Amino acid sequence: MTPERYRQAEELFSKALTLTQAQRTSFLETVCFADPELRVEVESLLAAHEQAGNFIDTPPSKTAAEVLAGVNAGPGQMIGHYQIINLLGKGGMGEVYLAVDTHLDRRVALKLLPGQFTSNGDRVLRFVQEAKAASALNHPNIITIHETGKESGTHFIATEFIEGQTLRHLIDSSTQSLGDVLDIVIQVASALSAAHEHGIVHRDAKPENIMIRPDGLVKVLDFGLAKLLSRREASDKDVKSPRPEIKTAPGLILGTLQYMSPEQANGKPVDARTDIFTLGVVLYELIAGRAPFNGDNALEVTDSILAAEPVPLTQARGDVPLELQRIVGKALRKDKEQRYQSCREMLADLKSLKQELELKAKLNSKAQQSEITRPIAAAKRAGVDEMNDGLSDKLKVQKLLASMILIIVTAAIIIGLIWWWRPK
Amino acid sequence: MTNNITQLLVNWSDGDQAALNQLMPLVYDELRRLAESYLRRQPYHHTLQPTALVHEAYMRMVGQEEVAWESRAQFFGMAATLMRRILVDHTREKMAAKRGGGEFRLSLSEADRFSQDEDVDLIALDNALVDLATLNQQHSRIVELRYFGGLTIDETASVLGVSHATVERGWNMARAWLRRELSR
Repeated sequence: MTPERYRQAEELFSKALTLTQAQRTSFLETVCFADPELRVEVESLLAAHEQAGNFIDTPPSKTAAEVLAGVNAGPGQMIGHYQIINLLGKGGMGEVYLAVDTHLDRRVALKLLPGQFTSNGDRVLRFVQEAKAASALNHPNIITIHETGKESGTHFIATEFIEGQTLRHLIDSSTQSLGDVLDIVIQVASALSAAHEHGIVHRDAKPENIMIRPDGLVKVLDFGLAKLLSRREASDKDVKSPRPEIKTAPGLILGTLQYMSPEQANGKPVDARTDIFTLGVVLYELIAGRAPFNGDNALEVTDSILAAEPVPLTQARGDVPLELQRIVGKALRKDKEQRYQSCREMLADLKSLKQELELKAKLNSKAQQSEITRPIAAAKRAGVDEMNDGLSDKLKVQKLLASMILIIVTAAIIIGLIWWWRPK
Repeated sequence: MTNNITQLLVNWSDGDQAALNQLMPLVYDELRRLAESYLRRQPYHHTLQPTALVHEAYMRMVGQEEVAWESRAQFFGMAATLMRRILVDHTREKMAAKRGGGEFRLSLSEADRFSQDEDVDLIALDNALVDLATLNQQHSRIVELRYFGGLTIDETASVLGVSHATVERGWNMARAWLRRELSR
């Protein structure tokens, strides 16, 4: 084909596109009378156009990002008995892929430590430590580790694959109701509690590392920075260096910094209370829609964490009960001695608050129906619905009885007064 | 840095080829950094538009500076070319590695159902685009901008300094021609 030929074909092709099928045939017959080869060209082009489907309609997006970011494993590649499907994301400690466990024929998330780091003992150690940390735990809100190993020089961790979105996504996309916020944070606190009981501090429990499934189940991921407390404290050379792996892009640095506790920001030793602070930050952000400690650069954010008091939640949002404000405040104390001393404590407060809010909501809606017997049944039902404690049942009924008694007594007093003051 | 980039862009607009040679590695670096941070921002990300990358690269490198639209257009045009080169080179390397006897098996089960592999043979497409450029340079460029740069028809028109209709015509023709070539 020559450029001239191409030009001719294009002219006819473009014109033909504006015609109907029937018109096209007669059009081409007429115009290409002297040049049947040209007609063949145009007709084949028209056919290609019809059959194109979504040919090159969308850019090769995944490949672009992966290539630019220097990603290592490709679709179809085998790592042991896992087959790579595609890259899910790149974290501080390695790349995470969606893969298939070909033995069990199930999907998994496969985290790979890039080959070039295999010789770096420190990184390998941390990578393996992550696997051990999370696998020591068995809790519905903590990601399940299936296996860890090394295959042709590549270290990997296979975990359950979680459908859903990260809390980061959730926070960025919509405002959450207080009920939902409490549901989520209670699950995270539950997970962290379990970890602490095993002597594991997460150290990086930010929204990017927490996922929520479509069914509402929350999973805490990425124990990559987790510190094993008692066992390693003696020999751990980075007891004082809690900064998560951060490179390059400023946005990323800030994102991680905002969740650090004051002691982390100061390079001081961390313990369970560090996770509590981070949980407080996440709780704040879920409620207010923005993080409590901000700044334009790393220095400002750190200053904010160390010295600034966050905008009171009651100002950030209209429906925040004082008790919730108190809980967040206690989690965000700069001095860790002033904070909740254990995740269990915070968890207990959160659960109480949640019950109270639910009770209030039920009472409000039932009061409008002005039937006194209904609330008890509703409370009982609500108590049964609760996945958690048997305490809620009793507590609710007790509170209800108390308010009912108050109503009856007040009514009795009023009737008594009316009787006393009746015209004599 | 911003001044430097803007200056380079302006120089390049004015016809300074050397400016382009300086610009390209800088833009490439920025794209790479952004790609990494996009991928890291969430452990499980789901979609990424290359246009978003290019736009953000532009904002970071040139930002709010007053830049003639021609310069802006050239930036996007260059980014598209960069993307094409990067992707094709990467694919070529991968092909070479596979032929070198590396492990590669595609099982006909979950992998197929969930594979989001590109349907298009990037190398074949690249070769065809080179051929197309000899027949109609603008049409080849249109495909490069739209497919590798992710630009819309209007954005492409803006970059090339032609009408929407011209781009649409060129896109339809080029696409049909490429489709025919690739299926031979």
